[in-house]
Amino acid sequence: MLEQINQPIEVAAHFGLHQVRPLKFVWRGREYRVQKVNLTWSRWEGRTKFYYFAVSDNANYYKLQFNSESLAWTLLESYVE
Amino acid sequence: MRQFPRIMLVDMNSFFASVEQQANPFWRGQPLGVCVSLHATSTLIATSKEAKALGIKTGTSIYKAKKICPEIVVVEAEPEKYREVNRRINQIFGDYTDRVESYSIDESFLELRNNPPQPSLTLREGVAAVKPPLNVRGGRGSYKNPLEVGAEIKKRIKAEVGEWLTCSVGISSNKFLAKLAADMPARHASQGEAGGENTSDNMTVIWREHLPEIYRRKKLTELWGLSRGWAKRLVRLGILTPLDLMNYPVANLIAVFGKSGFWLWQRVNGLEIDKLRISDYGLEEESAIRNSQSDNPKSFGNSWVLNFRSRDKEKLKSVILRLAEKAARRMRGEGQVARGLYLSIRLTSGEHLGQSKKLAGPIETGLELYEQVMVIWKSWQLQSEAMHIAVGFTNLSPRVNQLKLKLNCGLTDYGLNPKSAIRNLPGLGQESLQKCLDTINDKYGEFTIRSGLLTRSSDYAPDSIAFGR
Repeated sequence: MLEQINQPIEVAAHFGLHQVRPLKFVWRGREYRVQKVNLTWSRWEGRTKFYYFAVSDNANYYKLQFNSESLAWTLLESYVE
Repeated sequence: MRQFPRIMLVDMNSFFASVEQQANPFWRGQPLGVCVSLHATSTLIATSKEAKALGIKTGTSIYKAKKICPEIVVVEAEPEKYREVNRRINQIFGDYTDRVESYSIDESFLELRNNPPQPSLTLREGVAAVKPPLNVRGGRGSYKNPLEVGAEIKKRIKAEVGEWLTCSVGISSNKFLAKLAADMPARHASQGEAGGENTSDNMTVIWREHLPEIYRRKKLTELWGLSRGWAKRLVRLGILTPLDLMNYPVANLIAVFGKSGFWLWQRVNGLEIDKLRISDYGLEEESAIRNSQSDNPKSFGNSWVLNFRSRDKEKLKSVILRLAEKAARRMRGEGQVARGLYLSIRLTSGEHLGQSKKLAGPIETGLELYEQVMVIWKSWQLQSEAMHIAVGFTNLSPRVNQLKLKLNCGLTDYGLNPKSAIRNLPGLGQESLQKCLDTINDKYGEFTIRSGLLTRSSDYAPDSIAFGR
């Protein structure tokens, strides 16, 4: 079931030469390891560019957002089967 | 050596739905529909192949889809997601040719040269190694025929964009036949079986000499762009099948249908008629070609199935302005101006209000369209809540760079400030300003800079993606 979360999270990410890859994140005190980045895309809102990461582990899907202006990460939604 | 036909269509299968399944792997293999709003009367703008197999097609309402399959996953469309995937796929095309026409968000035509430059993709244990960037005009490596290029593009889309994304590839001598090829099930082409099979993830080449055999199994209405109206007119001439059409004397078609008859005959015979509208490269060439194109758009419009229901005409006005601005941006992008317009609205009662109008002079901005349709809007009484609004430009002609007469159409300012700077700039100043606004919005996204009237309208008419061109 898809759930809208929209809460700030802490993320450990790898900033490579041409791509950013979230590795794990902490939400409500629990650590989640990203096993696969399924899709990435971005969107401008005014002068702020938001990056989106559709990621999953073995059981869940998450949508993460990175705000390139404030450098803040947000967990937008999660999906549990 | 026999030359392969050079026109290729890459048609992404169940595009929006597949992208959603790519993003969330737990939706893969499940019936899924994408819609603009989650209202029960909203229609699905895309369905996954699993939903299609159950008979849930694009255009089915959510209510009806859930009746057929209560477990269907319905997700709200996220246009930026689809645009990004489209952009990445187009980047792959750019490694094979600089002549690419993005026909729609999920269909692109490629014109392959006889000796296309080759990408240096290597596959190791099913994983694509990162390829060094290619100069598309430089070219290197051995020649690959269009079939090999098509197979490689399919592989690269899966490896570099998303493993769940599949496409149909059609190769032939013109766009019309490439489309026919992409829509053909693989078995149909190779084994001569009747249509109706799944066409996804296939690749088909149509050679001109095989056309009679292919047309024998097709109906007129199965041909790209041939409406039922056209088919009826052809039947009156005794043309009952595509094969009849192919063999019909072209002079007779011209006598009855004029230039359209000639173009149709050329397309059906696989002769080059529709040049590619190059998307990213060679823009100068593009405008020259398009002046002689036969299929210029006849109108530019935007419509919206509202994600709310309302009789509040003030609230609905900002939706109209937003739609008008979007249509105007697309029209300006195509270098056209309009001398006509239409406005239509569908109400929850089933009633439909619609009116079109011709104008004395050309218009090209959303604000101009908005002002003109407000004259119509003012006269309408909404007896029930609105659920769908459409607005657009008609009577198009290419924009010419000459001074425009300032026509006083006796308009009042329907919510617009008559003293606002944008309305009172001298003619040329307005055009320059419009260009600047377009440039800003091109760079930072639609409606980054917009009329103050639209400040809150994104709640009523969020971003959406056009199906057509």
